[in-house]
Amino acid sequence: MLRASLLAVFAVIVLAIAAFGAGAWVKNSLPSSLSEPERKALQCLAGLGLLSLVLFVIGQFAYTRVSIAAVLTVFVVLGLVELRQLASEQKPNWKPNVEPIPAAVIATVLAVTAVAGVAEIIGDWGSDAIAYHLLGPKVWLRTGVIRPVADNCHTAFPATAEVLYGSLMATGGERAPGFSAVLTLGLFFVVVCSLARRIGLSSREALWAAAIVATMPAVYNGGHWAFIDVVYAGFVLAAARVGFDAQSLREFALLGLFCGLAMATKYTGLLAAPVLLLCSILFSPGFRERLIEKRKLAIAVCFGLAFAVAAPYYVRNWLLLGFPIYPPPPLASEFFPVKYLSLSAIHSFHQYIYVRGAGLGRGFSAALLLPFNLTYHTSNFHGAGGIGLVPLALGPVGVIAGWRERFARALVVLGLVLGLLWFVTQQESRFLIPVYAIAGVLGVLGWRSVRRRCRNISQWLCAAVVACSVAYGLYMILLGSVPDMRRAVSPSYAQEERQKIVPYVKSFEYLNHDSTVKRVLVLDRSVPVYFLDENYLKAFGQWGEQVLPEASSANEVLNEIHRLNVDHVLDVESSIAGFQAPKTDPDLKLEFEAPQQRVYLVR
Amino acid sequence: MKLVLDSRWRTRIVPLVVDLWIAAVLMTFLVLRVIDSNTGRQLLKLLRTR
Repeated sequence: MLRASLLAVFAVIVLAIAAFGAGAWVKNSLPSSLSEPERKALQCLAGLGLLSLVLFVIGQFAYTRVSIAAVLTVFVVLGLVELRQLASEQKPNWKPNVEPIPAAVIATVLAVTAVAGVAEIIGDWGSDAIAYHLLGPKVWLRTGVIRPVADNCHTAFPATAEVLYGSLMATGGERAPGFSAVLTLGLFFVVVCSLARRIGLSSREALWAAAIVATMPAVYNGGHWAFIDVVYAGFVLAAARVGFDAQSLREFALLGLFCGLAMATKYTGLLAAPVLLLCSILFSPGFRERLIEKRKLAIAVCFGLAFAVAAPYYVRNWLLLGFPIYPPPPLASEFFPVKYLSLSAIHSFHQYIYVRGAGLGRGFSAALLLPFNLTYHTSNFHGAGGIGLVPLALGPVGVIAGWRERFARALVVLGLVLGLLWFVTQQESRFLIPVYAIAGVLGVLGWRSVRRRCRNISQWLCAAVVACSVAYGLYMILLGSVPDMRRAVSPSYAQEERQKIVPYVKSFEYLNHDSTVKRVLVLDRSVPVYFLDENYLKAFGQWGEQVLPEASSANEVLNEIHRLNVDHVLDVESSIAGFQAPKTDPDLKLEFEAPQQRVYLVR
Repeated sequence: MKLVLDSRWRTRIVPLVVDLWIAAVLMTFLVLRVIDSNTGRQLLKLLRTR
């Protein structure tokens, strides 16, 4: 267990250095208003995206341990050169000016993430990490090429984070993606600090903003356990930080890069990127004060780079599956037939998204109540976790206090438009992380504004709000992480939990340890094949994917079993279906049986 | 007259509204947390039975 944990830590360090190297070419384009730590964080964040893009493009032909190691080596060398240069520039008398309480809070969140992050990620098909964030990379590594996994359409989503998870798995084993949350959350907090400083807060106040955002369970839940939402939010906020101050062609190019990376991480980036570009055009000094002579060229460069960075994911889908966005959105699905998904399966998927995306309700009254519901009734929201009291209590004061300042105004407009788009599309709490972060930053601006009035009662009220937010959020995060931390340090407890939580774990253990197993046929669509270490064929996917065009039922699949090139069959009794292979099937020999699970050998 | 009102508005009324708003947000949170706790649930049950 210790070896696996150390390997995971090593892989994340290698990835961080490689990202630092990959981001070297953006360092000269970063705005001069950034502090040195902010510059390094944005360099590393851009580097993570670029590194993933390179791995993805090469991965269309070879996504093996060798190809990943070769790419990483090149960028690690570049990163080491950068770090060496950084060390020689470091001032010897540098003293950090940090506020101890928020620094301790952030350190605690990161420490908890680090300890819990080395535990094995476990769950069933309801866990996004197990269902596709980690399944895709594991299958890609096994097959040596990046292709959407036919039995899970979500593996065709833009995959900036997932490609990095694959490289982490290749270098550091299956625990490394979980541990990488320390790196991505850390970078995200620096971006939040950067936004806070830019709207006029001091370094100490900016640290408070980061601490408030760090202790929002809704943010934390989108940033660990291989969730990709914090990485996405990092790209969106980095784009805002660069774009709203853009004065030169280079800065507009950097805005385009971060917008492209957002689109290459999540489909929601397709909505966020145009808003970011529009806000930058409206608010950046380059446009408002006509500092850029060739403004049309700036827009073209920005759009062009965003498109170029995101295009590989969408073009790949178009070529391989039939439409750039897979599964296709409503309307498009009627005109563009795609592989593996029938029209009725796509409709069912849309219906699921519509019902789940209703979130906290639609309509005008739901919109008015949204800030209150997000603050007080988070348990009604798929257990998303809260955002604390600061956004509601102090955010409005911050909006009023910052409205005169151009950057703060741009941030408010961005937050409102992103919030509105989220409200009318899919209300999944994690998707709103950029807005939560903006609300946290504005909350601290409001706190400062109230504090400056020097009324005792105001100061006490603000202190109570911030204390409640931070303490309650931290408590919830710690409470939720205790089982993971315990699994990370206790092998026996980890094994016990694995047996309890992973469905059909006994069959997986049997199949993974039997050397005669080469390719397994999985009949039930709810089986979390992430835990299977061998090649497999899952005839029916989680969202109604039909992998074998000629077989629409388990019986039809079993009739064709000798043509499927499988040597074992995993059949289970799940919550959605009973056993599907008859025990008396002459083509099958029962090899292993446990409650609700059977493994057959194909005769 | 307008100046006096403006000054009073800025120095007294706005800060008072802000304080009341912050206090309301805080109190709502505390009340909801108490209601949601075991003690709160028992208390509500007791009140209902009476």
